[in-house]
Amino acid sequence: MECSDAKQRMEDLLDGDLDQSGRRALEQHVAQCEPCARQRDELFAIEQWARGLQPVSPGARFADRVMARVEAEQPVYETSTAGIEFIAAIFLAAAIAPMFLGANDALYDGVVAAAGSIGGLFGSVVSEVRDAGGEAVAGVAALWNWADQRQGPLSPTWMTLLAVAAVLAMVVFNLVQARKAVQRA
Amino acid sequence: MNASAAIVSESSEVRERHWVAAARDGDPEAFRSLVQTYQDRLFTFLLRMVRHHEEAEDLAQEAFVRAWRHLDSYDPRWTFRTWLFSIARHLALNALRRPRATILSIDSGGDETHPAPVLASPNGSPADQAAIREQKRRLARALEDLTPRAAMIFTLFYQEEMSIAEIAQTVGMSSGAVKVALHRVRETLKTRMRPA
Repeated sequence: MECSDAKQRMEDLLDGDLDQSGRRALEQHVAQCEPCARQRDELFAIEQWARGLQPVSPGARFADRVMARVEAEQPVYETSTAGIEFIAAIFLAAAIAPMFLGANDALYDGVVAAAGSIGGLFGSVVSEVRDAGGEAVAGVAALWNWADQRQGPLSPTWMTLLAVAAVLAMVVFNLVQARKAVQRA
Repeated sequence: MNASAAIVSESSEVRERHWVAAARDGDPEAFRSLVQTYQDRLFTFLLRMVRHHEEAEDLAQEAFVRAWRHLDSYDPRWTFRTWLFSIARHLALNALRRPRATILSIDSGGDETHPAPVLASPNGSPADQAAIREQKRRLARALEDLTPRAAMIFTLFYQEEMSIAEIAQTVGMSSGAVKVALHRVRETLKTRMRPA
């Protein structure tokens, strides 16, 4: 073994990368080579010193200071539009339910007119709800449009059940999100 | 590692996993246990990089707070230690890029910062013991003069006893680059430990 190889093997040994046969070969070389023996002694002295170093403490109250900051952290409100979703869910429920539950035409017409007069706000709310509320909202909105035309393969009873179930699912989702945010606070 | 040490180590890992899981569920006392486990080591890691006591403490605090804040995104395939030290490393490197006040020297006299390592031969003569003390002082000074990157790798390997692979994961380098950096650290220390 050349001294350059021995030096590399010493590094591998210290890195934990030298197998038994490599160790034996290294030991044989070092036993016969004084410069490499001195090199080994220096490296081992460094290892011994380095592994004996103790960590430094940041101070007795460090954990308390960290925890004070942790406990002061504002909760991350996961669904920033949850409130809007909730309102939109109530609005959609109010808009859809009378239509399917056999409420009188006047009530239905009134709700539709209100929705139409709100116009852009309703559209933007639904758009916001769609973005944040996912598939349930998109399904309810599509069902609303379809039901408005009163066409389709489903009977009004099924349409009612589907619409109410979808709206309830979204309401429950938003209540759960809101509750989580309150708990974090 | 002997059998008893292996059992203790495994118990520590199980306990830590429990704390991490509880902290992720919002238990601050579990997170406090993690802070108390890692505070000294994380602080020393940062101190060796930034070489300023107060700044290292601020960075250590910030690292823990960020870990708490982002526990939801912690990937359990990493060890918590790797993840935490990775956050700390990122903070330290950002801090080092900013204009900084005069760096105070970490005490290298061999007292609270570097308690006496076992270099001295118990049977050595007074002259031998003095030579060894001087050698330790030179090594401690050399440690202070390492670049932040070199100090980082030194600390992860010798203090944290991380494997080369784990160091590579923590610092975002290849294993080969970590080995080269570690070898350079040893060369530097070897050169500096010799009398002038």
